Amino acid sequence: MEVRMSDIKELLDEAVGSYEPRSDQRAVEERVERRKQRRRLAAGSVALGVFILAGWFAWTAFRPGGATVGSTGSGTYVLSDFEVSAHFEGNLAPKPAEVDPRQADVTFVARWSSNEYPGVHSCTLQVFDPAGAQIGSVSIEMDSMRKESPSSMPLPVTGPIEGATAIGSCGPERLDTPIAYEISDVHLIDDLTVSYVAGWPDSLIEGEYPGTNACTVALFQNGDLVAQKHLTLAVGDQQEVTSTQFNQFNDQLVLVPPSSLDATVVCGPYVGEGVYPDPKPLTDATVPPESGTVLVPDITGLSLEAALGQLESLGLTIRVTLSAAEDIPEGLVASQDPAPGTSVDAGTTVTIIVGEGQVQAWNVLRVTCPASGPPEVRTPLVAAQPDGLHVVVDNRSDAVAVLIRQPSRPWVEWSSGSDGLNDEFVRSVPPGDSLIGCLTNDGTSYPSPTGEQQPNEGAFTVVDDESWASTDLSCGYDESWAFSARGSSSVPVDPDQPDEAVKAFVPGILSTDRVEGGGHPPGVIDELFVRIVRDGALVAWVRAVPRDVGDGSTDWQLNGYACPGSGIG
Amino acid sequence: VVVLQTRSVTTEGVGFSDFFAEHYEPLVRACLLLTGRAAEGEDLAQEAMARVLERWDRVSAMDDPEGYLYRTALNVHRKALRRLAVAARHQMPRDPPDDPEVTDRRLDLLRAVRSLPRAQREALVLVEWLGYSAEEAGSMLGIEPASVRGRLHRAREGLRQRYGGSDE
Repeated sequence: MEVRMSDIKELLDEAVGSYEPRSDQRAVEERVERRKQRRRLAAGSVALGVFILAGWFAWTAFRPGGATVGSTGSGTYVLSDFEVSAHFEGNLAPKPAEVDPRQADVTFVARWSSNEYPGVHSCTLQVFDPAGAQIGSVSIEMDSMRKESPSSMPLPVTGPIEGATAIGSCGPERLDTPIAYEISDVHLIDDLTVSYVAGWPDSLIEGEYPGTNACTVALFQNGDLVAQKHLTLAVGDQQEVTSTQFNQFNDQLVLVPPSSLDATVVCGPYVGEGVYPDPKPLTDATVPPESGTVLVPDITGLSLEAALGQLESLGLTIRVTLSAAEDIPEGLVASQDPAPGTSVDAGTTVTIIVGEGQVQAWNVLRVTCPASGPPEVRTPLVAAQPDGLHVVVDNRSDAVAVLIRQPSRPWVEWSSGSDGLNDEFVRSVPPGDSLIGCLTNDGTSYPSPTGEQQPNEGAFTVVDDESWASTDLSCGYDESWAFSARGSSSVPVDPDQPDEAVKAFVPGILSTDRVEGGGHPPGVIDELFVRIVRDGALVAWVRAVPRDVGDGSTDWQLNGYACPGSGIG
Repeated sequence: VVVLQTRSVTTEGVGFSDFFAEHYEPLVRACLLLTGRAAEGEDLAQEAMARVLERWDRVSAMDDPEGYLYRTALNVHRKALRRLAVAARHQMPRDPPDDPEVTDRRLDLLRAVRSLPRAQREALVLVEWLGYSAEEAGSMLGIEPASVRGRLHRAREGLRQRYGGSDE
C-alpha cells in the first residue's frame, strides 16, 4: 500500500475524517441528568428522576410507558424507565417542522440483573398505541460490557404516537428456543492459545442472531480446572475462527508436566462459574517445564514487549526502569539484572533498563482480588499506557473497590467500585512505591492509611512521569508529616491562580506563604494540587478535592504533607 | 476565572444546541485521535460536552467556549474518567467500511497515532487537526509555544517512523 507521508493533516483526515459520531446531544444531556440524579440521591432526596427533556417535549403528545418486561432472570439485561416521545431529526431543540410523525423516540435504561455479566444482550423494544395495538418494534444488540446503558432508540411506527407506550424484553426466550453460539474445532496452538471456531447454529433462521454470545473458555489438566476465561464473542460472520490466549504467568497456571491439557469452550445464557461439559483433549499441548529454577534469558536488544513476553512465559517478575540516556535506543532493552544465563527461582524479579521515548513511564496493573488476603498485582503484557496508571480489576468474587496508596505520602486513590470483571480505571498517581488493596463488601474494612503494608494490600511501584515533577519538600520526607484535613470556603477558586483562595481553607497557612501550582492541568475544575512555599523553601504540598455542599460554599478534603514546624495541616 | 463550585444545571440550553451542532462532530473526531478507539473517543466527547453543558451559563459567556471545550476534553482524557474503556477493549469495531483495506489502514493510522506519547498526541490534535496555532495550543496545554512546536515536531517524526514502518 502506497502511503504518502508528506501531509500529516491528510493522514489524520484519513484516519478520522469520515468518522460519524454515534452519539448525539441527547446522550450528553442524559449524562448530565444522570449525574444530577446521583447527586440528588447522594443528598438523600428521594426525588424521582425527572427526565431532563420533559420540558421540551411537553408541547407534544407524551407520556411515559410503564411496563418493564423482565427476561430470564439472573444473567440478562433488565430494561426499565421507558419514555416515548416524538422523534426529532438530529435531536436538537425541536421545531414543529422537524418532527417526524412516523418516528418515535424510545428511551430506556438497561441494567445487568446480577454480578455476572449478561449472557444475553439481544433485546426487542415494542411500541403500542393507547388501544394496545403494536405500532412498531425493533431489535437491538446491547453493549455487553456495561453495567448500565441508558440509550435512546429512534423507532419507526405505523401510527400516531400520541399516548403511546413502550415495553422491552431481552433474552433468548423471545426466540423460539434459546440459541447460543456453537463452538467446534477446539484445539491448542502455540503454547497456551486455545483456538476454536465460533459460529451460529445451522438451525438459525436467516436474519436471526444468537440470543447469547457470552462464553467461557476453560482449561483442564488431569481433569482439574486450571484456568478459565470469560468473554463476549464478537463474531460477525456465521462461522469464524477465534482464539483465547492463556498465559502461564498472568493466569497463574500451575501445570504438571508432562500430561496434556484439555479445554472446553461453552457459550450460553448463564455462563459463569459453572459446569463445563466434556472437555476436549488437546493432544498437541505442550506443557511448559515445571516451575522451579529457570535460566534468565538474554533479552538485551529486544523490544520491551518481546522482553516482557519472554520473561513472563518463564514466570519471572519484571521491573522496568526507563532511561533517557542518549546511547540507549528508544523502546529497547539496554541491560538486565540478573545477567543472562543466571539460574534463579521462578518469580524472581528481573530488572531491565529500557530506552525512554515512545515507551511511557506509566504502569498497567492487573489486579485480582481474592476473597481474603492480599490482591495479586501483576503487570500484564500490555503496552504501557500514556495517560495514567491503568488498573484492571479481574475478579469475580465480591470486591467493591480498589485502593491505591503510597505509604510515604498521605495519598489515597480508589476506584468508584468494581463489578468484578475486567473493570478498568485510570488514575494519575505520583511516582513512588505504592500499595494496592481491595475493599470487599463482605465487611472487610480498609485499614487507615499508615505506612505499614496491610493484609489486604499488594505492593507495586509507580515510575516517574513528567507531569509529576519532584514533590520533595525542602525538609525531606517522613510519613509522619502527613496530614489530612477538611476546610470550607465560600471563595471561588481559580485553579490557574489559586493563591488567595487556597489560603482561605488550608489550615495553618500563613498569609505571607506563596501558593504555587494549581489545578493539574489548567482548566481542571474538580481538583487542586498546590505547593506551599515559605521564604523560598517548599514546606508543604496539598491535594484538595472540592465537595459542593449546596449552600454556596465548598467543602474541601485536603491531603497533604508538610514540614514539621510549619504549622500547616 | 473558573469558579470551583457546582451550580444547578440549566437545561434550557439557550445557544447550547447551536454550539453542540457546530462543535460535536469535530470534537468526536479529535477525541478519536486522542484515544485511538471509537468507544473511548465517543465517551470522551460526550463527557467534555456534558461538562460544558453543566456550566453552560458560564462557558457561554467566555471569550472562547470552544477552547474551553477542548481543554476540558484534554483534561478528562488525562484524568481518564472513562467507564467505557473496557467496552472498547473487548469489542470488534462495528463500523467496517466497504473496502476492508481501508479499515486496516485506518486502524493502522489510529494505532500509529495512539502509540505516540500523550503530550505529543495532544499537540498533534490541537495544531494539525484542529488548526490551533502553537501559541493557542500552548495556552490550552499550559506550556510554552516552543514546547508545543517541539512536541509537534517529535509527533510528526514519530508518526512518519511508525507509520512508515508498515509502509510497503
